[in-house]
Amino acid sequence: MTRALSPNALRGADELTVIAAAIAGNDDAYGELVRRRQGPIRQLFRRLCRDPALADDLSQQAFLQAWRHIDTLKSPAAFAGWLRRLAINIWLQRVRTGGPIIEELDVTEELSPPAAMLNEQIDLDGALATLPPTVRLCITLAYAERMSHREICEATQLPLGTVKSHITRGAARLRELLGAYA
Amino acid sequence: MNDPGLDPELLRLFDEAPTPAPHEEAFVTTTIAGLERARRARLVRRITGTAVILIAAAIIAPYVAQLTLTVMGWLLDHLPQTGVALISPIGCVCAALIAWRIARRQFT
Repeated sequence: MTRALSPNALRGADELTVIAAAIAGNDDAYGELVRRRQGPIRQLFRRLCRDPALADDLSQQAFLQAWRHIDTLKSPAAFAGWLRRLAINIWLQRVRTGGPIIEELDVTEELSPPAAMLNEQIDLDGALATLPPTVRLCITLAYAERMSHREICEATQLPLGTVKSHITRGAARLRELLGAYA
Repeated sequence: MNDPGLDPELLRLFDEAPTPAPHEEAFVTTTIAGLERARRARLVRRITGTAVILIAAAIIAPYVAQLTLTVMGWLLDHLPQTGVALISPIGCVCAALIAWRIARRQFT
């Protein structure tokens, strides 16, 4: 039945119905899901790479990968978390393969701000950009996505201790940078 | 859901600094166009795969038929009591399967 929903009906349908239709192979339903879910996914990637074009490329990869494997999704209610995990994996793959990501500073280095920033108002995204990619990822997932340490650990496959350490040290670094320019 | 150890000031900053994702329609259109391309590519792969299988089957079919007759003839000569079984539909299918296997082996 979910396969037969028209594009107009899909626009007004609740999320679970749309996801169920997409799982059943309705491509219009998947298009509707892209429309509804693009905001959070693009925002996540924008936070992680600070390059809107790259963020959109990575978001498209995430949606394409989700479309290829959506028939493996058992519960429609799990879609949002599943899509986010795919996005996280795409980011981690990007980091591991050394694809272009924004320049970072070593979080362990001396906490003196870069000279070029001295007289500038540094914003949150600018401060985030100074963190190493995996630290940035953990901080973004904890503070922007409100994921628990354990959820981040499961989504990123990083050890729990590493996740906690990244969040603590990353938050300290952000406090330093944002405090210095407030 | 988040852990209690999070800095409330940073949480506030994250809440107040949403990164807007503009050009929603353009993004959706581009993504759906990408999905269309992927769908077409998948369809072409499936059609090609089916065509390859059909062509291979068409090439092998005469050998299979010939071998089926050979196998049936051999069985009738050496095991006459299987004759009744062989002329039954199940017997024909079994003989065809054996012949198919032999033909595939010859081709690979």
